[in-house]
Amino acid sequence: MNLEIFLQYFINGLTYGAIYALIALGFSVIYRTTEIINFAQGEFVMLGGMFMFTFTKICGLNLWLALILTILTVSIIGIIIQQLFIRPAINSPLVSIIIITIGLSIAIQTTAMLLWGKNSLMLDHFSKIETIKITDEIIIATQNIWILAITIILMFILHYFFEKTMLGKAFSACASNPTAASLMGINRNNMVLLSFFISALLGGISGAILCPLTNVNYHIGLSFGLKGFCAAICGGIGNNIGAILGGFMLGIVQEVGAGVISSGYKDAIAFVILIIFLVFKPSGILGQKWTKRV
Amino acid sequence: MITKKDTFQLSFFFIIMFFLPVILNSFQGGGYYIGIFVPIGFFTLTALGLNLLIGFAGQISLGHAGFMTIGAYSSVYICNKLGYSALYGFALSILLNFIIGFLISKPILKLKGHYLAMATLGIGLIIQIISREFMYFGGGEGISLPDLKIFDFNFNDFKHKEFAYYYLVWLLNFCVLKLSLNFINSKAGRALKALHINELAAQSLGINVTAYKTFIFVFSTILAGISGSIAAHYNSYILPTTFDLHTSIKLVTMVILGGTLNIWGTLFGVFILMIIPELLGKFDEYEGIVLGAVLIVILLFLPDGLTSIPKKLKRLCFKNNG
Repeated sequence: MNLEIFLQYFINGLTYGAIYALIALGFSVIYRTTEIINFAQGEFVMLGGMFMFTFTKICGLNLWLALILTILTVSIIGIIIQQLFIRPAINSPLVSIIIITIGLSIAIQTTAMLLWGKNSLMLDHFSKIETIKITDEIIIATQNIWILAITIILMFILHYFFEKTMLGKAFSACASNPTAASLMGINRNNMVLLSFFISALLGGISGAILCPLTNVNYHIGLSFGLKGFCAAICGGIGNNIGAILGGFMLGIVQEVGAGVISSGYKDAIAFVILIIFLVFKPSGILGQKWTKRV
Repeated sequence: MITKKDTFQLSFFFIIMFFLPVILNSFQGGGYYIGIFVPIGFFTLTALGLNLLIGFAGQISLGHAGFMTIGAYSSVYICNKLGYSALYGFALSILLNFIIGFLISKPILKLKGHYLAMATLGIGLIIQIISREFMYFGGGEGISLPDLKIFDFNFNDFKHKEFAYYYLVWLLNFCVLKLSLNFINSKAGRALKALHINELAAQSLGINVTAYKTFIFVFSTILAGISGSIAAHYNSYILPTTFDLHTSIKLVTMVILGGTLNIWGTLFGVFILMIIPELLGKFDEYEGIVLGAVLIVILLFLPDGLTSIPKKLKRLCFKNNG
């Protein structure tokens, strides 16, 4: 593999990495308030792509209006899920909640299949000019640049939200010590609701900006969800910076690895990394030493 | 020791399952109805193992369809590629699942909750990807299997295909049920119950937690493998997607639906989830919604499964009286 081909894979890896980072952040936000891993996380990505398709292609709306509507719709779905299914079960054993989110995941998937059909749907790239040719070997899709730009902006907004606003601080407080936080007058239920809102929002955006590159299909959610989880584990679950780092790392390793081995094994690479991390370093690169909290 | 109640239930079960085909066969198109019980049979085989794993060892696996795939492809390798007898196929299926199950159980069973769920899910998907990418076995197109012949007896002969498979799987199920009941009522079973309630306490009483978990995990992978082999022979064809993540989730749903601490419940769970599609006809499209709804409703309202309904009712009546 020469340098130019490597660079090409590297750039693709960065793009996917950005998406995995967003999904991993979604996992991490919910994990911090509830210790739940939401298996339906990937479905938010799928729904993001699907609604983006509906709003741009079927309703014929303007790109940015469609993006905003998509994000709103997916976030509302996230809130509904939390209110209807997670809240009543919040005191059940963790394994039960995992299985509930798995149930949600396949139910959402099947509903999407019935609504949008089984075929892959194509979305328009954000810019009219779809690719930029840098050298003969390196061709960048302008969508890559959009994805990276939007992801970076989003991360700054999130950082600002968690560090500078009252609500964000309340959220962090609730995540680090729920009892103390509730004694300070922070309502834990609202924070859990907020975490599902943020997480669905992140999923929705990542689906909406990624799907012009990959097309959208009712079953893409699972694989994105798993890879987002893998990224979250690599970086250390519950750690926002870790999630971002893990996302980019996974994206790059996966794309370059697929280039070296075979693109058919692309998904397998991510799952092997996931299992290696789970077994040998479950706390991730940046996580604290793994302690079991009951 | 197996209790008297269990022995009674077991003999009752044996008699019913033994005469069921005879009764069904007296109806018009009886072969079709017997045919429904064959897939129910091999899913029961996997679900029984999974029930021990979820209910008694307190672990979860979202990758058991992967072990069924390993079993199916072992049979393909022996019968189709090498042309040996199907029995060797079963032997390879058991051996492979034993080795793979044992090797991965060591690191994997150290994980808890979500981590275990995700890791087993990942393993299931890796097995599926390999079976898809491995062109030797036909890749995504799938591959066919010759008829299942054991000592010149051809199970796939159209005259008695349903009957033959019916008795094969249900005889196996009967043995596994007997084994499981014996196991649950043995010292090991009681140790596992202790483990389920409080792992730390069990450990401090000298129960070798890891050994029991490993044993159950390997046992369940072997059952999944045998069931995969039989299923592949029965369908005469295997695709990498025949047993996919959906199957794994379905298996977990069956176990949860029946009640995790009740072996008989698993039979109920499998039966109900397999009979619904037959009753509803065109069901494939909606299956995901039904599975999801069943999982959510059961876990929210009946965490101990359908078999806990009589107990709950009794408690309700008792409360009202006193």
